[in-house]
Amino acid sequence: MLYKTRAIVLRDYELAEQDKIIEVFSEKYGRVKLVAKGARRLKSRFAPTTQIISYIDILAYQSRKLDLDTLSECQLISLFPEIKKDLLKMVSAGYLAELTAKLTPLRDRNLAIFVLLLKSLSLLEKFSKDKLITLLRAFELKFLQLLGYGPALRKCLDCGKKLEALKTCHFSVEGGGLLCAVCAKDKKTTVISKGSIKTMLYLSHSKLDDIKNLWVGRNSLRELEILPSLYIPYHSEQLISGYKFLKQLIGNGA
Amino acid sequence: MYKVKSIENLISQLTKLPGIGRKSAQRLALFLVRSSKEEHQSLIQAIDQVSKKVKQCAICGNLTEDNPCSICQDEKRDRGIICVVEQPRDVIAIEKMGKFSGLYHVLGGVISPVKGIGPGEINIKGLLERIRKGKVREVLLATDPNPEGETTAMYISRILSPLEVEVTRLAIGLPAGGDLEFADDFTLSQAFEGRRKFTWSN
Ligand SMILES: [Zn+2]
Ligand SMILES: [Zn+2]
Repeated sequence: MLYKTRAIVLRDYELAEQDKIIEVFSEKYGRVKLVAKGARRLKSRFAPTTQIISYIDILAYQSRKLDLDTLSECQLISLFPEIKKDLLKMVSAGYLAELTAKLTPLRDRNLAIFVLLLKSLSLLEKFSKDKLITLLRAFELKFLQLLGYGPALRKCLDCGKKLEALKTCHFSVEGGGLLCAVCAKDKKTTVISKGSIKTMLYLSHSKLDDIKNLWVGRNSLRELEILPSLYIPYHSEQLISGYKFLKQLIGNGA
Repeated sequence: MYKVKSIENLISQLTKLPGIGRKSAQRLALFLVRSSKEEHQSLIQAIDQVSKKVKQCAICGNLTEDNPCSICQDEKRDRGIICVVEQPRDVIAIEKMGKFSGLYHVLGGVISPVKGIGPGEINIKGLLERIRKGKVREVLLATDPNPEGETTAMYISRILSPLEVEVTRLAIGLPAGGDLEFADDFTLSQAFEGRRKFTWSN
């Protein structure tokens, strides 16, 4: 079967001779793997259009038996040149691609995830670096929600007491969200400021564009690190190695 | 599945080779079964020699039988310039072009933001040590002209920015895409001649 869809290139792998496999997240079919023949040759028609972190329009043959389709035509929509030119932006985009590649099932259409990823990359392309971390946290929260394991933050997971009524907020990675001080007793939790919980709620539900006008304090940015460092690895049962590199770069003031 | 255990074992060993699927492995195995004892011995010997003699050069990281490698030992080569490449196969491509007379540094991989491969997993430390010893005036970044090669080049140029060394990049650049090892000699020599100053961030 021949199909046509727009897609974002997440990763690529060397194949025999001059071919490669690209893994994309597509608008119509979710995450798909495709063979791009000759794509590793410098002058191949696929070489400039099948690079990681690119937005492309493809025509491909779906394989009947294997999970590996064949790329027939490929047109570049955007290369995200500003991301590619900047180390920190590129590593950030790579982290989003790694999350998408590792946490979404193969051949499972999910338009909302496609739109989220595309929109996040477009903003990454435009944003100044001080908005970058907030954008990553917003992506994580929205992405987890779409996959069905976003943290529950409006009330205590156990007794239902509302966030507004809480004096101290406890965050339970294993429980998947907010606990009050009473219910948090004898459980492994992290105390997080109410401001940070509210920031997470805001980032989960507001439009990505609104981050432009949002200011998140240093303390909240530090507390929200619990998402990539503990929450995502626990709930996805996957090691997201890009986060470590990203943290190292930011720590060094890139 | 073949019922002959030793053939089956050979097939499963061959499938480990890059680009060899089960069908090709079967074809190769059956070919080997039919070839002579002498041919078997010379193949076994060739593999045995590689396994015993080939190592990484302690200076540049390239594959070699002598340590340091013949390029690092060659007095006629320009010690003021180091060309940084991803893999030994890139050294082969550049040497074949024949227009570069400096030294190499083989990273043994590439930083991949999408696969979470960070700088700690490739040989950047060795490069820093070589430059700190002085005498190097130019580091020419010849990683592949694709996003991972470019990210690696940006990272290295950032690490080198406090040091007094000029950092340049091959003039292939994005959005070319593709791997350096498949560049033809003409493209490659143009890329060397047209190399330009390179910075890690705008
Ligand atoms: Zn409670
Ligand atoms: Zn050497």
